Order: sequence, then C-alpha cells, then structure tokens
Amino acid sequence: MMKRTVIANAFVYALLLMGCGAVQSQSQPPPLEQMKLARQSGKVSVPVDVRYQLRAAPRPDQPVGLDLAFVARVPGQNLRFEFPQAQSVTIDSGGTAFAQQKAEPKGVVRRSLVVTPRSEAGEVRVLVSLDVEGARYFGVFSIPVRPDR
Amino acid sequence: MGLRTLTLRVRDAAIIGIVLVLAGCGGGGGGGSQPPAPAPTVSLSANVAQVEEGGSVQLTWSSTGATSCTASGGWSGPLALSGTQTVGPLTQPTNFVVTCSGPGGTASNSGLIQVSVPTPQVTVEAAPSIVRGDQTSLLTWTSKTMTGCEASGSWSGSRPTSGSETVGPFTPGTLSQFTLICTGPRTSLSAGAFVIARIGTNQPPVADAGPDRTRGSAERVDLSGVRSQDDYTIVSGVWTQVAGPSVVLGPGNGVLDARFTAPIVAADTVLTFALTVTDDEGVTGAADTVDITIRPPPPLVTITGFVSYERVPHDAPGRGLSYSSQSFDVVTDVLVEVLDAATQSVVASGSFPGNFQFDVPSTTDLRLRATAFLSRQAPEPLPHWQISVRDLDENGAPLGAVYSYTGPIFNSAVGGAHTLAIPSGWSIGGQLVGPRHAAPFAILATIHGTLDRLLALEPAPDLPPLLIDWSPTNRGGETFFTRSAGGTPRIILAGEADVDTDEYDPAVIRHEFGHFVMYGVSRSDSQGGAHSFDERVDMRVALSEGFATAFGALTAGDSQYRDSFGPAQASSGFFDIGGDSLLVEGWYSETSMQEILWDLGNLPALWQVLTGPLRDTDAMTSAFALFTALKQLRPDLAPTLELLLSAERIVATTIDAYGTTELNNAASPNVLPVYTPLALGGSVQVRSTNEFGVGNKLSTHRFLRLNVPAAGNVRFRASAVAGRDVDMLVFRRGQSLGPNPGPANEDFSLFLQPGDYVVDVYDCGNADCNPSVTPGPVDITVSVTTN
Repeated sequence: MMKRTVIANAFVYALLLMGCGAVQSQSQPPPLEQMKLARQSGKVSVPVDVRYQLRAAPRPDQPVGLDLAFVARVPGQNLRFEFPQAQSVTIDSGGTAFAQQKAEPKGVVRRSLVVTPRSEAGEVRVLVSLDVEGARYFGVFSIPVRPDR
Repeated sequence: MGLRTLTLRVRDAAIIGIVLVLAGCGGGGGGGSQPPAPAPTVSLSANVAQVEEGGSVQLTWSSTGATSCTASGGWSGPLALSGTQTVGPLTQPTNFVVTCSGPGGTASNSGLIQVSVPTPQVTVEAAPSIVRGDQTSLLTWTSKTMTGCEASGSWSGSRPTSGSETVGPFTPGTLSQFTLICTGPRTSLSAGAFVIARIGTNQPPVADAGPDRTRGSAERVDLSGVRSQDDYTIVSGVWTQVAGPSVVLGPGNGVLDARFTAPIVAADTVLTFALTVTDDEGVTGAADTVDITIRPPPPLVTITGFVSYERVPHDAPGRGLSYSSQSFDVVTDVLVEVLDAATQSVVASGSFPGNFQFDVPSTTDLRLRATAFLSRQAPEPLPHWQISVRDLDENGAPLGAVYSYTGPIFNSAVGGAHTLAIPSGWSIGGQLVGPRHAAPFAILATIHGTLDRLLALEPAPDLPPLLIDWSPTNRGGETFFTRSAGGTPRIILAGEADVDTDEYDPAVIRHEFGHFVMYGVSRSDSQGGAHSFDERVDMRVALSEGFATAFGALTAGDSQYRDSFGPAQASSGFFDIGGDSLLVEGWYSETSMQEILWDLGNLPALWQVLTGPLRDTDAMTSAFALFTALKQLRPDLAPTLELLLSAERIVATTIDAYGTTELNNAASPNVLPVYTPLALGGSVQVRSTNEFGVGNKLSTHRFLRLNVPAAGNVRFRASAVAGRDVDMLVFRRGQSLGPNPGPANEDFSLFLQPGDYVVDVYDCGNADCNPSVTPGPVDITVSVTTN
C-alpha cells in the first residue's frame, strides 16, 4: 500500500513539475469500466456520464491525480464542462473549461486533473451541459476527494 | 564571476537606456547649440457667428511666440499681440484674418462672420397708456429696414423711422389711437398705440385675502385673492407670509392665487399671509391678511401601498438570465408588517390580496417589513395553505427566521402612500452588489401564480404546510422536493451563484411545486433520485417527474422549461414539452409522461384523477394507474388519450392500472411483465438488473401483484444468491407495510386484510442502497405463504 502511494505521488509531482494547464498523462488512462460514476444532481440532468478515478488515496493538503471521463449517452452538440471553484478542494491543474462541438456515445472525452483536498468533505464538482434535439440540458456532478485523517 | 557579469550587464543596459532617451528627445541637450525658436500660434474668436445687416462683431485674438500681429480681410492694420476689438457695421459676410509673426515663423487664423438681412419691423408704445386729468403720454416708436413713416389717427404728418413724442393732455373719457405707417425698400408696415383718458382720480385697488380658515397638517392650502376689487382692473397680486412656521408659497391657479402645503404641527398653529394687489395704472393698494389655522394630525392615520420585488427575467433560450431587463413586480398576500422604527415593535400587520392598508400612529417614524410567508389557515374557511421561504439545515431545521425584508425609515405624517421595493442584489450588468433580498419573494410570486391557477380548478384545496428552503449557500443542482415521514414537505432550491440559481427559474419552481401538489392532494410512490430525459427509469419516477414538469407548464400555459446556470447565470438549460422527443418513449420515460399530459392539455381532468382514483389506486402510481383512471373518469377523452399513448409506445386501448397488456419491454427480457402475478402459496422468480442504470432506473425494482382473499398472516420470503442484499417491501395503496429491510435475504410475516397488494422487490446493489454490493443482474425468488 505504501509503495503504491509513493509511486502515485511521484507521478503527481512529475505532473506538477510540468506546470502546464492540462496535465499530460504519462500512463494509460484507466479503462472506463474501472472508473466510478460521479453523483449527479437531483434535477433533470444532462445525458452525460461523468466517470472518475483517483490515482492515489487522497491525503490532506496533498495533491493527487484525478482522471475524468465524459461520455455522452446520446448524440449531441456543444458538450461543455467546467469546474466551479470550491473551498474543499483546490484544482491545481487541468481545471480549465472545455467545449466540444459534437459529442457521440462512442467518443470519450478525458481530462486529467491534479487536485488538493482541503477538508474532510472534499469534492470536485463539474458543471456539464449538452445540446440534444434542439434543447439544452445541464447537470452538476460531484466527485468525492475525501482524505482519511 | 557570475555575479560580476550580471552587474556589468545591468550597468550597460542603463547606459544604453540613457542614450536612447536622449535620442528620443530630438537631440536637445547633446551639445552647446541653441534650440530652435518655437513657431508662433494665434487664436481668434468672435462673440457671435452671425450679425444682422449693419451690426457689429466683437473679435478677440491672442498669440504665442509672436512679436507682431496684423489684421487683414474685413479689418486691417497692426494689432497688439492679443486683445479685443469691435468691428462694424457689417453689410455682407466678412472674413477676419489675424497674422502674427515671431522668431519661429508666421501663423495666422481667420473667422467668417455671416450677415443676415433684418426682418422689417415697426413698434409704437404709449407710456402711460392710461391718463387722468391733464396728464400727458410719451409715444416711442422704432422700426427696422424702413426709410420713412407717416402718422395717422390721433396724430398726423411725417415722422422719422424712430423717435419719441409727448402727446396730450386728453379729453377725459376718450380713447386716442396713434397709428404709424412706415415704408421701406421691401415693404410697408403699420403699428399703433392707444391712450385711454379716464375721468376723475384713480382709486387704489382693495386687496381681499379671503376669510380666515382651518386646515389639517400636510394638506394643500389654496390662497385666493379673487375677491379683491378695483375701480377698473387688478393686474397682479403678491402673497407673502407674515407669521407662523415658514412655508414655501407656490403659484396658484390665477394671478391672485397662491398655494402651500401645510406643515405638520403638534398643536393648532396659525399661519398669516398678506396679499397686495396692483391695478392697471400701476397703483398698489393696502395689504389684506388672512389667518390659516393648521390642525395637528389625528392620532391614527392610514398608510397604503404595495410590496414589489426585483425580478430577473430569462433572456432567449440558452442565454440565461437577463439582468439588464430586471424590473419590479408586485407580490401580494405576503405578510406585511409596520414596525416602530425606534422600538422595532410591530405596530400593524396583515396580508393583502392587493395594496396593503394600515392605520398607524401619525407623525411617527416607521418601517415596512415584508416576510416571505403566504398563509391562509383555519379559522378561515378553505382553501388553506401555508408556504414560507427560509434557510434550513439538511434536516429541515430552520437556520434562521422566515426571510423578510425591512425597508427604510419613513414618517407616517398624516398617512399616504408608501411602497416597499425589495432589491435583487444584482446590478444590470450581472454583478452581485448586495444581498439577494428579492429571491424569496420571487419564489413566492411564482408559487402564488401557480396557486391562483389551482384555485381556478379547485376552489377549496386543503394543502399541507410547505417549507421552501432557499439560500445563496444552497448548492447548485441540488433542487428537489422531499417529504420525510411526519415532517413538513419541503422544496429545496439551489442558490449557488455562478453554478446554479433557481429563484428566477419559474419553470423549476413550478416543477417542484408540482411534486408538492401531487403529494398534498394525491399520491406519489416515486422514490425520487437523479433522472434525465434520455433514461429509462422506474415507472413511479417517470410519472412523478413527468407530471411535475407538465403541471408546471399547464399552470403557466407555457411548454418551455428553462433553468439558468453557469458563470453569471449566463446560460440556461431549456426544452419544450410541446415537442416530441424520440430518444426514449414508453411508460418508463418522464419525457413521454410530460408530453402526453401537455398534449392532452386538460388540467381539470387531470385534477379529478389526482384527487380521486390515483390517490386510491391499489397499484403503484404510474402511467398505467393514471391513464387508466383518466380513461374511466373521462370517456370523452379516451380517443385522444389513446392516440397520445400509442404515439409514446404505451399500451392504449387495453391499458389497466397494472400494465397487464403492455408490450413495450425497452428491448430487454428483464422488464415485462410490469407486475408479476403472485398467488398466496406460490413462488415466482424475477430479475433485478442494472441494465438501465442503478438507483431509480428501470428494473432495479421489480413489482409483484398479490391478492389476499381473506384476512390473516402472510409470510413473505425473498432470496438470491449469496453475497447479494435483497430487499422487499409490501405496499397497500402506496403505504409500505413491511419491516425495514435486512442486509441479505428477506423473511417476514404481516397480518393483512383482504385486498390487492404490491410487493416491491429489489437488489440493493442495483437499487443503490448498499454500496458494498456490486450492481449486476440478480434473480430473486419470492414466495408468499399463509401461516
């Protein structure tokens, strides 16, 4: 367990040293089926699955890698996502807004973030919207980043 | 070594910088040569741009860097380096030039003065125009563009084009007319003056300021001198205040009138005003005075007004809220209170369907307070409701009082209009500039409008109390209706700026209020949860969500659903339930539900079903229960309804509350039958799946239909392979009868009365109630026996 954490942290530090906006993954992104589904809000939501996987167990005030995958469940246009600011988790890199003209169920949009949990109830939230059949839907997704203290 | 190199570089850079700066100054300061003398400048202006023919113009000039100036064009000769000079007469457009020279060269400036042709004119005046005895009058006349004049009437002979002449004395009781006809190169004109010779001596006018009288504080008081008299004519009057608290006198209706607003006094107070009048011979008579006694206000006075809130409307679909279009809308029926500004105690309170009206102490500093609270309760007759907007914790406990807004201090004086305008806190540019005071009232206004529509359907609904939890800290996306057992139903509305705010999203508010109405007057067996228009969801969820959206649209008469979100609320989700979404159709689709209900467009019929057969159905609340009841209750709607059901791929002609003949299986073997028949003493196997997702999605829960012919104990058992967590609930008309589910298989007994029951069985991994169980298809065996 300790070994895995050390390797993961080394990876994160490597990402941090690169210093770019969107973190370039040095390894293969996790398969979709291994990624958890982000919790979506109670309102009528967007037909997009947001999946996530943390690269290591979160630790208080320590950066950790977070892989995200956005999968449209139906064909649509104008897929957008952005990350509202939160005090419980700071997004160190990869948190810029994203927009893509077309979205297909086959097309997976991936994003890697480096985030730092700042409280026990840490979570990253994603605001996702998609135009379908002349309408627009949006949803707010929550991804827990909760360190064990 | 490295440090030394760096120092040299810094010094070199500084030297280079100095050289560049000097070069940039045009070479000045580089040697001993004198700088070139600056070029001279000259300005010229005139007091007018145009003069009448024969008129003059005043020219003003100034210069810099010059040693001499000269005039040319319309004037000539040497000029001072600056000055002013009048030039004229001008007979044609003239260009004036000033040229100044100095060591640096020569500069000039000029200006063109236009000359206009004067309008022909003749005037004659007599002063005085009224004479008495042997008094004379002075005639004065002028003309323009004339070359000669001829007198006629009471005088005669040639006259110059302008002049003056004394005429009279006159015969008392006569009227003399002095006419002058002048001729010029272009035209002839005449003018005249009268002199009236009156008999005897002039009597000064007699002012009459009117009778003394009494008026109330803050009332408008009219002073009238209309009863003043003169032997001929009074032409003017002047009112002045001579005693009492100072007031501002304004003009009245006539030349002898004035008016003022009475001051607010604590005791009877006398204000005295004097009137003087002047006759047409310029004689002013003695002043007359009037006393106006001002009474103090009564102990109680009436204030009226209305409460308004700043509403932010939506922009075009997709473009979010339009802060530049926000305006104040009236909100009625909320609690309005009058506070004593000094003590903050409530002086008066009430709710009003229109303008508020209160009797309050006069001349007292007060404040108006509106509270986000709509209530009509016993002992008032039905209808009843009680709706309040407040900030609650996650358990529904209040974090503060019901939202209220207190306006600025005002003095009640003698009563009158006082409005309370509640600001949104947003600037027209969309910046947050203050507390979002208007939000709770915007929410209530939407609810109020929906209530009004409900009352048109059902004049006497008895709605349970409703709490609306709104706060700027309510998380974006977290908008929902909830009703905990024994607790007050609650609508939670998102308020998180730049993520998702709902206070100005009427469609969202009406949707959640639709859930409340379904709960309050009917029944919903929905378990809630996340949902989307493209998903195949539990039939109870599909009906609940589809009904809520359709209810909101039908009560508003607007099929467009809009929900603002994102930074600055500048985006919006939107869809039109008047359209036809083809992605998912069926009894498991909330989109199908809302489209059918909207297209049917019959809210009264829907209300009948909600408040009757749907509330009492033995089946779960679903499309089958609702539309079966609708067909039975309103056979006239059956043909239309069957068409709409068929279009959404739902069994139509043979529909029953259990969907017995439904054939739409969502292309899965794990969906039908909707209810699996289960007989006492029998056993069936059903499959709970995560094929359509987990939680509230289709076929995570499976339903069994059980008839109990006679009262007695019934033993229920549900089992699956080891490692699963099977739950089972037994429902009688929507009420769960069973014990709380255990962590694995279920085995319990219930004493049941005769009737139809629904058994809801599911795997907790699929139903998202046990995170330690991985979702997947699970065959569940259910048996029921008597014991």
